[in-house]
Amino acid sequence: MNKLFLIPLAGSIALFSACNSGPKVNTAELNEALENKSTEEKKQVEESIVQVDPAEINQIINSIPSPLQIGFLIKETGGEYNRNYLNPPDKLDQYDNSYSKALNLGIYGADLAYTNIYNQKADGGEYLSAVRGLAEDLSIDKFFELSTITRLIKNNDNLDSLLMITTSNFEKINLYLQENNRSHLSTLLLTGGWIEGLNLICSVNEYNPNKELQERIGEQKITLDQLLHLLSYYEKDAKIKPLINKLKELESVYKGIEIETVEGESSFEEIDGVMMIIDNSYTVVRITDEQVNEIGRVIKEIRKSIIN
Amino acid sequence: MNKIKYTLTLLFGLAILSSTSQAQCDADKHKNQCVAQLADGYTFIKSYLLNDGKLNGSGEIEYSFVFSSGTTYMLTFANALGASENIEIKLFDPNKKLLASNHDKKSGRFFPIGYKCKATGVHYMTFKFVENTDVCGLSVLGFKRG
Repeated sequence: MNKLFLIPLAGSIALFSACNSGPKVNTAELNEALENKSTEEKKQVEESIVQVDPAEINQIINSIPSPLQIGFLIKETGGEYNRNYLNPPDKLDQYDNSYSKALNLGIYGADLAYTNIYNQKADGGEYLSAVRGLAEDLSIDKFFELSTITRLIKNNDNLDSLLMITTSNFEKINLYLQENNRSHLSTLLLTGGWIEGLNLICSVNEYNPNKELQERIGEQKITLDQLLHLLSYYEKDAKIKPLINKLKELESVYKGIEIETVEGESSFEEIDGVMMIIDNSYTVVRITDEQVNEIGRVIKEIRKSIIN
Repeated sequence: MNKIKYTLTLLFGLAILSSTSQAQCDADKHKNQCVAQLADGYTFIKSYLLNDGKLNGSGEIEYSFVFSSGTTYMLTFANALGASENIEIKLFDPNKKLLASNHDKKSGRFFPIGYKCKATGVHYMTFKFVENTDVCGLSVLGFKRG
């Protein structure tokens, strides 16, 4: 009787272990990550895996805004399309490790969004190839619906579909990386996208100073806090630590910027089948021209160290 | 003694069922539908998978997002059956003050949420499945300038 009892119990334990979706190490991914690495690098990869709390990482990653929003902001404030703002798409060979590939995948992803928003078909095709190339190198290209995206880029009428599919593909990549203990790459991808977005907005503002752009630059203080929190999980990773240090330099510039929230009452009502919130709270961003310029200078330096 | 053994077996069985139902939650297939429910002019930026593996101690699923001033956001949703019902969404400001719920208790209806943000900061969203609905669904966030 006791033995009979043990069979379902052992089976239950085995099945439970197999189904558990909590933190786990994917052996194949881990082996791949450790392949051709020195003893020191192996130690760093292993350390980065054990320190991460996937649920918290996932929460922060989900809170980071998309560079798409910055692209739309720039277009709406009258910024002309300028390819010179972007990272040239022919530099893939320069990115020779997974860290620089992930960061630059984020950068090219933001550039692709920018070209798409401005309906630059030829440039969009080039940036799509760059994105696809880096995704291939990182073994995550299966999430890119290349033929669909190419078709949509050629078709002027489908901007919404194009943006939806590219955003969705990047979401799948992030989820896959997080679920396979490569969340450090997911973090780098998001960081690269954010850096490119901030650099874009600073570049546009440099040539056409605009109060709204400057306020949005100041508000990036909040996202930078989120990113630094996220990156702090990987502080012991020798390849990520220099990036953290550079972003901390940027953080020190942001420390002088004040974001004050003036509290107001909120209410909500149903309008045309949508529960619309009317919130009377608002933020006031206090940022000087000098601070805007300094942020532009520092973000350019950080970006340069990543793309070159 | 036997009772303890069988209770343990039952608990493991329930754990397996819970874990399996989480694995079987394929709400991502409703993404196109949720995106289509965004009003005209909104662009999709994020989707939130809702399954029982993400439940917190209060029986809710919480996500956060940096909402930006000068932007209007819209949250749409679908449960496992693809219906926009039985998921109560609450939106909180950066101080965790409740801004709105999508559930109109008078009519019993669940609406998409629209929010014209004037105060930049990390906002919080909670999702609660009501009326014994399977904890499996998807929510989509869209935005438009202005």
